[in-house]
Amino acid sequence: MLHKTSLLAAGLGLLLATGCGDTRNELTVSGTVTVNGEPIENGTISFVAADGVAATGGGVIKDGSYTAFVAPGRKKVVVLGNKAVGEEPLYQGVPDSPTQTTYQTITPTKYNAAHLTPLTAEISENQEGLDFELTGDPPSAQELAG
Amino acid sequence: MKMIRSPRRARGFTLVELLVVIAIIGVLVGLLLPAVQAAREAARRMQCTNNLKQWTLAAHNYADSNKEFFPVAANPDVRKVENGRTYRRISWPTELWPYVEQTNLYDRYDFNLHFYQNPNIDTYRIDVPGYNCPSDVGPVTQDQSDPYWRVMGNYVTNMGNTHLHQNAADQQIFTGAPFGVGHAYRMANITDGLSNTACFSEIIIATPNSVADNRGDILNNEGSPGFMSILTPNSSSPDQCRRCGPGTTDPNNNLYRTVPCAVVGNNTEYQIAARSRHPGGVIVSMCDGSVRFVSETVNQNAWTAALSGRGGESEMLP
Repeated sequence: MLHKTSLLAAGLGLLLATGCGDTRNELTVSGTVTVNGEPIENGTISFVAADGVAATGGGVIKDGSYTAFVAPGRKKVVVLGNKAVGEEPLYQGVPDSPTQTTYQTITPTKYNAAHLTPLTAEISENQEGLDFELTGDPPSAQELAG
Repeated sequence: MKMIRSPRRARGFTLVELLVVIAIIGVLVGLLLPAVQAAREAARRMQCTNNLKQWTLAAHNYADSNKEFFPVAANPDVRKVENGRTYRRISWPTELWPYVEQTNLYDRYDFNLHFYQNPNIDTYRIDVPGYNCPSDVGPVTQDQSDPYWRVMGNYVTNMGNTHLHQNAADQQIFTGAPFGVGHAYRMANITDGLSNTACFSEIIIATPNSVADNRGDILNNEGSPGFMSILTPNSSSPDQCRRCGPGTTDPNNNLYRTVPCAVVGNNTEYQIAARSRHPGGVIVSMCDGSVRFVSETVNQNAWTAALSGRGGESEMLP
């Protein structure tokens, strides 16, 4: 009797413990990102499916390294990096305005658009050391202004 | 006379029987409680769906009385837009107020002034029913010690496949949208069809009672008036804002899981994904007034197609 009861309780307990997980089956990839050899201080990295038939994942870049969550498959890699260059007032022309950090883009324009980026990656499993080395000049004022 | 023990068992329950009953009741309650929570979330989601529908119907009614133009989603400075009117800094709810029974606010708003000037800023401090999705924090404002504080909200306009302000690369690939910064588009511009093009969706208020993060500042043209299809809904890739709240840029912080963020230096690198606290996806209203739930696993092509106004794509939202 006791034996049966404990068996029943254990079974029900197991049933309750099996919850629902994350609906996105994303893999964890990490590595470093540099521009002309310099690590990116601040930025983002996104992995866009090359054929477009997966959700887009990614992560932040901090002091040259990133950890991203990505659905498996062939990817175009989009990178935007910038560095802090000073402080500016939050509200122009307001005395005693709080300040915010000013950032300047250091990644060339072509890396910040899925239709232009030359970077690709094949993601099939959790991966470390997926490094990207970017080269080129920061975007011009015209490229930024549009 | 000797007492004879009855062969029958004593009346009452044994300890084991009691324990079994308690265990069964415990299991049943354990099964029921999550169901109650799920029912509550379902109710909140329904309310959220209704809000999106109201904003979409308001946009339709606005278009009906304004030569088929959608309202300007956000105007960056003094600028004359396609509908022939000149706007100051303003965001989309203002022009929709008369269509959500907020004529009193509309009458107090002076279109010859920026939103942050008197008397306009007072109208941006009044919580309008329909700004907030009940699944998120509810009606909140920014830090009220800030000179220009405003109420915050969850609903955002569809700005298509490019950044808040388009950079040169964006202009090559822009496939249209019902809303834009410094633009008023006509229904006729939506050649993909109103039922195939998104109008409104939702974001999460990243830092309530604070000005530390742009997301939730829907009443500011440089805050979060819109969302874009550069990232899929609830993407693990960060939004790119001018200001990110504490913790939202740190992968080890809990906030990063729901509202990841990275600071950018230019408005032409500024982009916001649709995000929500509903399990598994976001609610999107299409421009025909239908409202649907879109899974966060939606593929990039289908999402881009749903947000574009004249892309000519054949992909449909699943």
